[in-house]
Amino acid sequence: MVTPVREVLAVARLGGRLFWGDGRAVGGIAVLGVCLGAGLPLLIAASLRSRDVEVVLGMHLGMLAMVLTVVATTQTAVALSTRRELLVLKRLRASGLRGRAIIGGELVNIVTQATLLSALVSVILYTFTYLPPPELPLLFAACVVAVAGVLALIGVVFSIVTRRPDLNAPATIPFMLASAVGAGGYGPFVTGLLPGWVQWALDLLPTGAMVEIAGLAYRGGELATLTGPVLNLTVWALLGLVAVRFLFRWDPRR
Amino acid sequence: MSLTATYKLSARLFWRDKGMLLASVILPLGLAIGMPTLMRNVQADGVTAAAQMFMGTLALILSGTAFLNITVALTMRRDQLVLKRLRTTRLTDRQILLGEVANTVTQTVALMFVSAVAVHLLADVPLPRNPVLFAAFAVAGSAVVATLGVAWTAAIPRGELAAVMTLPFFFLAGLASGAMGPIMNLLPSWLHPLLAALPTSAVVDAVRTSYGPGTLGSDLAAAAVPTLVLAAWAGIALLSIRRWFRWETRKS
Repeated sequence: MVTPVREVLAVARLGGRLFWGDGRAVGGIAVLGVCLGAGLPLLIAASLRSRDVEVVLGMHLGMLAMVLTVVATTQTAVALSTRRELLVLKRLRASGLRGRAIIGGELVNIVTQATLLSALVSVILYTFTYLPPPELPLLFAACVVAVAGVLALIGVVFSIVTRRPDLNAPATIPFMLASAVGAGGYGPFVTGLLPGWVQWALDLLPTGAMVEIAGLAYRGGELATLTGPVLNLTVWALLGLVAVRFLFRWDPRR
Repeated sequence: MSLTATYKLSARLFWRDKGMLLASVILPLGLAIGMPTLMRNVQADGVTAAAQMFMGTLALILSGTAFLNITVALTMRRDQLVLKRLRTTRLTDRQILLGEVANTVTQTVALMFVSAVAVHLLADVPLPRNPVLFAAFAVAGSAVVATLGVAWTAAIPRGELAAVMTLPFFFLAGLASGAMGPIMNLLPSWLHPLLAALPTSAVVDAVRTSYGPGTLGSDLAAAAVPTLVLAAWAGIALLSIRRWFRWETRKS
C-alpha cells in the first residue's frame, strides 16, 4: 500500500513541477481563476446598495463552480491529452509506474491547485466584502476537495473522448457553461427563469451538489440533508472511474 | 496560389475539423437559438425578452466562432509549422492571414444570419428593420473580432492553451452584451462604459438599432459610435499583428 501512495505523490510532484514551471500557464490559470472567482462577486457586492449576503454568496458559489470546472476538468483534460500526444504517459508507464498511480498523481496535483485557488478566491471575498466565512469551514474545504476530484475525473474522461489536445478545452466549454448556469454563476435572475426540468437536470451535475453542500457549510444546518448531494458526487465518481478503467488510452490515436 | 486558395483551404479545414465544430458552431448556434426560444416560452413579455437575448447572444457567436476558432486554428498551425511552410510558397504573409480572416468572417456571418432566421421562426423575433445595417455590422464585427483573434495568438505559448486563453473574452463578451441575462444591472456603473467599449458590444449595439424603430438618419447616427469603437479595435489588432505575430513556435 505504501508504494502506490509514494508513486502517486511522485507523479503529483512531477505534474506540479511541470505546472508551476510553466509561468504563462500559471499566470493564465491564476488570473482567470481570480478574476472570475473573486472579481464578479466583488464587483456585485460593491455595487449593491444594501448588504445582500445571499446574492453575494450565490455569485460566489456560482463562480466557484465555474472556476473549479476550468481548473479541474479543462486542465486535467488538456494536461493528460497533451502528455499522451507527446508520449509522456507511455514513457511513464514504461518506467514501471502503475496506471492508477499516473492518473491518481495527476488528479492529486490538479485537486491541490484547484483547492489553493478556491482558498485564495474565498479569502479575497472574506477580506474585501461582507461575505462571512463558512460556519462549517471543514465541510466547505472537504466539499471543494471532493468536487475538484470528481471534476478532475470528468476531465480524464474528456481526455479519452477528445482526439487532439487542442480540442479538449473547446470540448469542455459546454460542460462548463452548463455547470455555471446551474450553479448560479449567471446570477439569480437566469437561474430563476429556467424551467423546472432544466434546473433539475443541471442540479444533477457535480457543481449542483457543490452548491448544496457549500451552501450548508456557509449557512449551517443539519448534515443529514446532504445525502442527495453526496450520493450525486459518488455516482459521478463511480461513472468516471468505470469510464477511465475501461476506456483510458495511453497512446495517441495514430 | 492566391488569397482564394488560402480562403478555400481555411474553409475546408473549418468544416472538416469536426472536433472544433462543437465549440465554434454548435455551441454558439445552440445558445443564440436556444436561449431566445427559452425566453419566449418562460417570460411574460416573451417576444421582447427573446429579441433582447438573441441580440446579446450574437456576442457569443462572435467570440466563439470568430475569436476562439481563429485563435485555436492559427496557434495549432503555428505549432505544426504549417504557417512556416505556407510562407515558403508564393503566398504573401498578408494573403495567408487574410484568407484565414475572410473564411472566419464568412462562417461567422452565416451563423448570425442562420440564427436570426431561426429565432424568427421559433421565437417570433422579428427580422431586422434595417437588414443592411445588420449585415454591415455582422461583417465588420466578425472581421474585427477575427483580426483580434489573430493578434491574440501572439500571447498564447502553445496550441492546447489557446481555447483556455480565449475564455475570458468569451465571458466578458457574454456579460457585456446581456447574453448572460441582466447581470450587468448588478455591476457598478463605472464598469458599464468599459464593457460597452468591447468590439462585441459595439456590434450588439448596432444590431439593436437595426431591430429597433428608427429612420435611415437615426440609424446612421446610432451607428457612428459602434463604427468608431470597431475602427479603434481594428487599429489595435493590426498594430499588434505587425509587432508581435509569430509565424513559428518559440522553440523553433
